[in-house]
Amino acid sequence: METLAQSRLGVWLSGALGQEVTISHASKLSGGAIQENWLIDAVIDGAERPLVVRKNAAATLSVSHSRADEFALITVAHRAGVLVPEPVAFCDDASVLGGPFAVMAKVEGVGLGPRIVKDMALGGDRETLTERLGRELALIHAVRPPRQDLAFLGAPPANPALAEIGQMRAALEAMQAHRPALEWAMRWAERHVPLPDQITLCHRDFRTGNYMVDASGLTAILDWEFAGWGDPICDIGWFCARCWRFGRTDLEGGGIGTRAAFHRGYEAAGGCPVGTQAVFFWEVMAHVRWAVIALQQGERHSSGAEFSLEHALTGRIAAELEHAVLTMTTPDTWRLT
Amino acid sequence: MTPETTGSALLQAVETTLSREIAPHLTGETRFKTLMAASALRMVIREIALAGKLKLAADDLAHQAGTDDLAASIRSGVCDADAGLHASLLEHARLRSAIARPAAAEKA
Repeated sequence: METLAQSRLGVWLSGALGQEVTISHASKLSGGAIQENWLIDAVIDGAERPLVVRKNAAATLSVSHSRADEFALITVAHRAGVLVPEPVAFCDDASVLGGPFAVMAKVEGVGLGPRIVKDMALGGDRETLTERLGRELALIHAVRPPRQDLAFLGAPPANPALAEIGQMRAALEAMQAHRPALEWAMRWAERHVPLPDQITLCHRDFRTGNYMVDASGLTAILDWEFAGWGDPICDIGWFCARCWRFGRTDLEGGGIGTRAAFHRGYEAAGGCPVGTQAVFFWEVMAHVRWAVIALQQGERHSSGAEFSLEHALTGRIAAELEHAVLTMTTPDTWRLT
Repeated sequence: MTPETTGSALLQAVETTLSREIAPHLTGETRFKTLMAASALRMVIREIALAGKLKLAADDLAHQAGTDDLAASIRSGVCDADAGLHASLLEHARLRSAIARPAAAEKA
């Protein structure tokens, strides 16, 4: 970040916080086509405070809205007691850094799923961590519609399960992707739709890889861009789905602990009782959704929109997800009435 | 054996060159991308080796389906819990999964 931009950021933050803010250093943490993250060494009223600036790489209206929405979601989650990076300020004035950006407290920790699953020096006691994650999820699910500050999420779906099946079918159609295995799984799902007890805020990407831990335990729940109103059990299915256990298929609670510990933490913090059938439905749909997302990523390469070997390889993950979902929906599991 | 190296064996040689001879000298993103390229080559090698079996599985699936638009048939409900179709789908998916990531196919 140029010195001039740094000082503009300092001036803007001083005004936003009503405190004297100076920026001593700014370094890019990660950058891509969509988003940049900057680590900012700030001094606020004489005290050092590391911050993170999240900004769109290219300031387009459609994307800039999503950055504001993400900040609103994290603010709601923070107020609900969820362990998220503390939201500090949001700026939609493009004259400061060339586009809208969010400022959040820097959180220490490791987020990489495969590393968390393998490196037992991380995360503290694993059953405690798993229980804690259940607790965090229950706090997210305590946020209920309607909410003026989350109006951008739109109206809650009447039937989240059918809505999800419809979205996945539409996504496959949009790619002109003929995937009979996914169609089989979605047809099974259509015949086994659970009715939710309630509609809540759902994270919709709550899994190992999307939270951070240090040596002693959880430090933050991340990646809020898919959040929306839905059946809270969909988050439990996503977290426990075999495809998100990073090789530790024996540990049904996100590859890090037992399913029982996760449910225990969830129910103790006010989450609804977790029914086995509904969770299984959402685990099937978790595989379908991840397969659709993988195909969408693969399509970015195969369509020529963006050269990326990584995207091309991600698309090929769909095959193992299809195999998994077929083993979950064998003919004897169909309820034929 | 012929003195010429086959296409598959050449691919294997390129994979070995990338993963064992080049990648150890690299760090960071270039190392990551080189290993990813080697991984993609291993996938191609498996795809060539399993091409015959995959063709048989695809033919069997087409026979079971009896339609050009299997996805639409499944959606309509006419294939609900069809054991023959499921077996064909499963075998086809098993092979494609074994090509993409053999470790996953073995565990499932």
